[in-house]
Amino acid sequence: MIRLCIIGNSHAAALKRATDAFRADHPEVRLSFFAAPSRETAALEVTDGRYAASTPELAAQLRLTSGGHDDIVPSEYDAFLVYGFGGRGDFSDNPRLLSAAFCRAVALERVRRSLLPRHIAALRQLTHAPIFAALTPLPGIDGIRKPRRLMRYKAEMAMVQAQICDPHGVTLCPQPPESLVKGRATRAEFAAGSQPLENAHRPTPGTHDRSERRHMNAAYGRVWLEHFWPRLRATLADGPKRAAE
Amino acid sequence: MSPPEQSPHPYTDLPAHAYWRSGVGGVEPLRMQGLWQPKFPITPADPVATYGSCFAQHIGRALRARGHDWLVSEKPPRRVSGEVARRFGYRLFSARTGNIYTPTLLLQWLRWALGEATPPDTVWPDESGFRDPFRPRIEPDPFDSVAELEKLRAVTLRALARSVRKARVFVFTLGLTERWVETETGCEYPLCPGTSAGRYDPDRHAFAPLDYPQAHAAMQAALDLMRAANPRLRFLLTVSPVPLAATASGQHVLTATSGAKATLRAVAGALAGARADTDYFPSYEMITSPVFGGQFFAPDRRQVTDAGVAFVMERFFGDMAARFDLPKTADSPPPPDAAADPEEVICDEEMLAAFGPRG
Repeated sequence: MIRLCIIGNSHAAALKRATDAFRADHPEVRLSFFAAPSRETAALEVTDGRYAASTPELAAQLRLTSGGHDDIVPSEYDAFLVYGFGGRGDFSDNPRLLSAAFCRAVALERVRRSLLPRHIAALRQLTHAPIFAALTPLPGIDGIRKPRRLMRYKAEMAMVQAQICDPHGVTLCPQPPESLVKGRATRAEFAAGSQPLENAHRPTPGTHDRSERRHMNAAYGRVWLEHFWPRLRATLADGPKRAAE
Repeated sequence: MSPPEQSPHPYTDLPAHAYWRSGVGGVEPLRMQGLWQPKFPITPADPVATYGSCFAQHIGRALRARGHDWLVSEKPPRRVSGEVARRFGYRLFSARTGNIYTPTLLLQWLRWALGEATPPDTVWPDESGFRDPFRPRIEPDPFDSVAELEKLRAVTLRALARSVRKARVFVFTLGLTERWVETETGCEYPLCPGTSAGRYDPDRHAFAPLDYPQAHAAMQAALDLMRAANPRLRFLLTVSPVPLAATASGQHVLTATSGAKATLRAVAGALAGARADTDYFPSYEMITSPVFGGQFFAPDRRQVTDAGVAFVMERFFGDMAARFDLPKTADSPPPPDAAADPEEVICDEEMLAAFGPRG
């Protein structure tokens, strides 16, 4: 059994909604989600060798998504995935009016100001196990506005890998190529009918508003997990400490 | 026999602020009132463009903090921190011109922006790219290519033109009279080549300090050019109280500072006196007057402290409110797109200090 711990925000709902179908094909993996909307996982803190909720609100939310746990005990997992933080673009971005150096600085800053650096630093403090990271998916293409990116997707991923992930021995996982439209957006079918993350504190609607294109659906979650699975398996086969070395 | 009755003359019955004894001598300096009698109101609804030397950066920020319409016509993308934006020259002035220290440099930028002239094709190659000689520190690293440098300068020129056309008030802070020009084209650099970028070549670069007639003529031409583009525009001139970081004049830097500031102060005063569309705001006096005992200068006797800036801007809004019976605006939180990180003033001229002896 491979035990994967996933720390995420609302974007992790796509993976969680795809878990049952994924596990039907891959019963040898167990996914444990520690997810909370927006920046609420900022209340996770390293304490006594665990990564634990420091507020009752986050504790309740983590119990809901993980099936009863409000802290992460690193020894209980073989690998970690920090999912959905940083990297979100903006429709007002117009790289034609900006220097390439500024675009790089902005793209990097958007990741640096997210919870991704905090979570991977905290996890690496606690464990030598492989840690993976995935940024917020690119927004779904809607056929109306031309999606704008400050940088080419591959260049941005390489920069984040080098600047943010490498210092902690973390592997960045780009979106599956089949989910992308020219590296600028996510294919429309993956952004339709996405469902919100379960919320411990307020009723969760069945699906997002029809105009929502930043969150992905279970089909995307399935594609993402299938794309990730061989990488996870190969990394663990190479030895649990490989990523940290 | 009673003394003969004095006939009235222009010095009788003046307001208290007109006499040194009642306006200054008997007043606690920080409570001095009426240092500025503004010519025209600046309301929160009036778009205000700001350009000039380092000290001008305080004015834009203060306007924004008080809920005024500080016009920024070249904006970074949304959700960019103030720190990164400033590092790349955004939100320091209304467009990314960098510091404009002299009236002639302002005129040069305006002529390019308003289509009266075109920039020369001079670029300064660097180890890793190309610097714009007319704003060499606008970004931390050189531009990737000449094409990018020129494209982005054109973006700034369009933004500068937009700010002139859209503003109701154009604030300009005069900073220096020392300047360096390219001998072949006559174009002016904001910084001496070789100090922060480029290479100094005595055959191509010349020291060309402004005297009063040159500074006055250039400033006058700049104001006329802007009025032609926007007949409703009014001008508020200030003189930076920040002394020169270094002088190439051969004089002591203190003497050179005194001469430069006197020239610029005279230009600003003459234009404010002669033009109905132009006013002078005495931030220079508020910081440098011996009345204040140098209390607004940092230990290096050059940088203006936060308390000094606060005092100047308090007087700005206070005198404006008193003169035009406007509600006095209070500092408000910065807008959400401006991150709450400390707002450092970016001052290219300070590069010059790096070339002096240490100690």
